[in-house]
Amino acid sequence: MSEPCTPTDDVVVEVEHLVKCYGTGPVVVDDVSFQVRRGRTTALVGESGAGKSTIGAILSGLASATSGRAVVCGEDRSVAARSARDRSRRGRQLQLVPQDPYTTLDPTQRVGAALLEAAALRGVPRDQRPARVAELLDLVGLGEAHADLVPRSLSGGQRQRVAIARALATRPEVLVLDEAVSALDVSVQAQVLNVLNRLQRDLGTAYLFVTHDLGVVRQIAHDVVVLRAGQVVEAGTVDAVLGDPQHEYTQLLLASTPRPGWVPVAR
Amino acid sequence: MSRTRLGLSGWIAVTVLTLLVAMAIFAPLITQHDPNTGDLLATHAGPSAAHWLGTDGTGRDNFSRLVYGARTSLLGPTLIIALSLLVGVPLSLLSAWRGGSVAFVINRVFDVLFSIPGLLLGILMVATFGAGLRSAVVALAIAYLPYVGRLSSAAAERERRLPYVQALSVQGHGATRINIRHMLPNLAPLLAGQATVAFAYALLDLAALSFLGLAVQPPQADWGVLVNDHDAIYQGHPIGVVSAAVMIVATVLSLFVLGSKISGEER
Amino acid sequence: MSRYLLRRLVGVAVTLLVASMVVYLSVFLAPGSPEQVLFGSRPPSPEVQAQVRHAMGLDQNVFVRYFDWLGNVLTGNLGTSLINQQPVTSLLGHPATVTLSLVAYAALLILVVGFGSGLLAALRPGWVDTTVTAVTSVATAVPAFVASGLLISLFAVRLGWFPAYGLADGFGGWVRGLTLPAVALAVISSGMLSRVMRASARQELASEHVVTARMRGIGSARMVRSHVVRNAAGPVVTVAGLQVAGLVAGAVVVEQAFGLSGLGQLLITSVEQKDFPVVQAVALIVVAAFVLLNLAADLIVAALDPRVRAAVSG
Ligand SMILES: Nc1ncnc2c1ncn2[C@@H]1O[C@H](COP(=O)(O)OP(=O)(O)OP(=O)(O)O)[C@@H](O)[C@H]1O
Ligand SMILES: [Mg+2]
Repeated sequence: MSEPCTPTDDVVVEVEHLVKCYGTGPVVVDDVSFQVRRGRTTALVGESGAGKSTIGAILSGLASATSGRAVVCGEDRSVAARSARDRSRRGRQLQLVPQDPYTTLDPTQRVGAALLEAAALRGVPRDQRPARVAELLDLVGLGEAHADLVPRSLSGGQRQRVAIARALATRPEVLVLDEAVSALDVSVQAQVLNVLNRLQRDLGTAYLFVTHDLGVVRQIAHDVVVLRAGQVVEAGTVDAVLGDPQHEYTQLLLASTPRPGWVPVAR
Repeated sequence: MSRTRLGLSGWIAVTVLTLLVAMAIFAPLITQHDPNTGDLLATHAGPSAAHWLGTDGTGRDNFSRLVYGARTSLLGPTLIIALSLLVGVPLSLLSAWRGGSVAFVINRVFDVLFSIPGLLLGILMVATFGAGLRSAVVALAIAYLPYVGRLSSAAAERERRLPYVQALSVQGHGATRINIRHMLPNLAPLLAGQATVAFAYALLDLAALSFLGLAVQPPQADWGVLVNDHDAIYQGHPIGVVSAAVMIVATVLSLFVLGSKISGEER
Repeated sequence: MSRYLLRRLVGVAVTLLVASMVVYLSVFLAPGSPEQVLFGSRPPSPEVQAQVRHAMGLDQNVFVRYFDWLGNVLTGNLGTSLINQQPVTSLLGHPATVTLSLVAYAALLILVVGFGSGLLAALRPGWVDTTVTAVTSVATAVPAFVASGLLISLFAVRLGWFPAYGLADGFGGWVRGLTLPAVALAVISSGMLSRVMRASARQELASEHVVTARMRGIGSARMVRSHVVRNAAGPVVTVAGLQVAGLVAGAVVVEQAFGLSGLGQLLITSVEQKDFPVVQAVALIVVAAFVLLNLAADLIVAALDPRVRAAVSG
């Protein structure tokens, strides 16, 4: 299988002057630019309605951009994928873990089947798929027994983890996680963050990590983009931005985040 | 399907329908009399131990004609609905998935077919291809296409917009797989409910065509043919007609009840 | 509103055009050609056959013939019967009157019984509701051909109150002769309409503005008239339109059962005799009536319901 990104690419996601209005509505993403690099994590933070999910939707091809570019692995995604081949290539490049775990899984499909199907997408040979499913369930802290359940019998946090496992099954170059750990309790959250960190080390996966939790940002991200009302107010490395916030909105965000208390995670 | 969901009326309907199907299958075991040979010495006989529902104008046993009549009366609508689902469901999935001009053309086809009442289409088909069960079944299958198609394409359109379908598409699955492996199972309960109700109407229309002498041909036993026994009616021996009428009404009523239970609405 | 009207009219015109094509062409798929019906069992020499074909325009392309036919239909010429060589239009007069009377009678029954019983059930919860609902549920499963047989057995053969067959002369004769057929035709649709009426009326009764009106002390009778009926009308009129439109086709069965010489009987006889011009003409009339009655129902819904009116004019 040919790699979707050539190994020399360093910047895997390049968002340039991205603008989005839904229909004739107001501008919800307003001239946003940032990058995500191979093997690194960029956190996208900002208040509710800032346009974070919209950027994720454009990157994953669910929505089209009004103007600007959203380049993933060298391919501009501001135009929607047309052919099945485009879609399957884009799927290998980037996967999305959507914000709402309750609507993102097929209600009639058992967890195991969903993961098998995702593993098949990445060309895992048929006889190795069950082992891969078990491994994926284990990665996100679910047992093999969960494979036989339908989403209805899972909690929100468990569904979220299935969605993460499903996205990981295709081993994408870039993973967009939209509030993917917000619904999980602290210990599971730490476990999932650990898994994500390990995968990044082993595979060089890049993450775009949407969250409103600055504690989580400190644990996982290298870079951070602060978004407010569709505009980037501040961007840079985590240490720079959170250590010495320049913009008053970032300062406000920091002040409203209960400082430590987060569980340290091995990098 | 759980007991609570079906309710009492639902279970009665299921029981009635199961008995009817059993009756059709095991007809030779249920009755000793041949449905098509009569005893000319015992015409228009009243109910007796030998002939539970008496005999008709040519001395044929009414009960065994009723029992054998279940065969064509149930087989015909089964073929009609199977055919119209086989064509209508893929068309409506296609229309929902592609939208635009594909959906426009498919919907116009449904509109035109819808504008020709099923009974009339049956009569025209019979005029074209000659009377008989086969033309009638094909004609009614065409006539039922828009009913099946309109309802299921509306449902498929709603389903297609659900986040889980979009998530699968972003994952990189092909349209065929998403439609067959995901949309279809989720639409199945609704389709089953509609198919059950449509089955009832198909049974009525087919029986009406048989009544007109255009579908099942006498002397073959069929409920529509039995109801049309003018001879018995005018001579004041309506028992065969009445019992066929009861069978039709009971079957249709059971199908209505079951259909609305399956698709989850009140009746 | 006028934009909606225009769009609907264009849609209906296109549908009718395509349906007319289906009606016309379906007959041409039939094995055996129209002139063979003329010749009967003694076909003349090939030269004569060719002459007849030419005279009837049968040597032309099917589509050319379709447009000829359509042009004639639009100018009121429905062709000539193959069987008795009379203009089809002259054969339609009496049957059309019979069918129209039958359908109108049945429609009246459906509307009165359907609306009335549905509203009654909605307004009188308890045993009235239960009884009406049970009866109308069964009614929705009693098709016209079943009802015909039962009605004839009971009211014509056993009790002798009504004729079992045909129409006597005069207005009284028609009413008596059409009563059982109209009832037979109306049973299933009345049941359906009643159920829809009951459901929408109950929904409206439970809705906010009716509850408010009740609290404001607006009398019950006025309330029923002004709020419930008006707001429940949408789905009810749609269903009523669909049902009444369907009667034209359903009449075929009832006319056959009661020996009424309406359009349905003409259609069946013509099918049996392979009198294609008559088959096409009657089929076209039935389709047109079905489509136009549905259109009428949609327009009434739009005119009655302010919500729909707002939606369609937007
Ligand atoms: N499909 C849509 N159609 C119209 N407007 C939309 C749509 N999706 C989002 N919006 C609007 O776009 C703006 C940004 O929404 P978005 O979901 O991107 O915010 P967010 O930053 O993810 O917020 P949250 O933290 O609450 O998830 C909001 O004002 C929202 O109302
Ligand atoms: Mg969001």
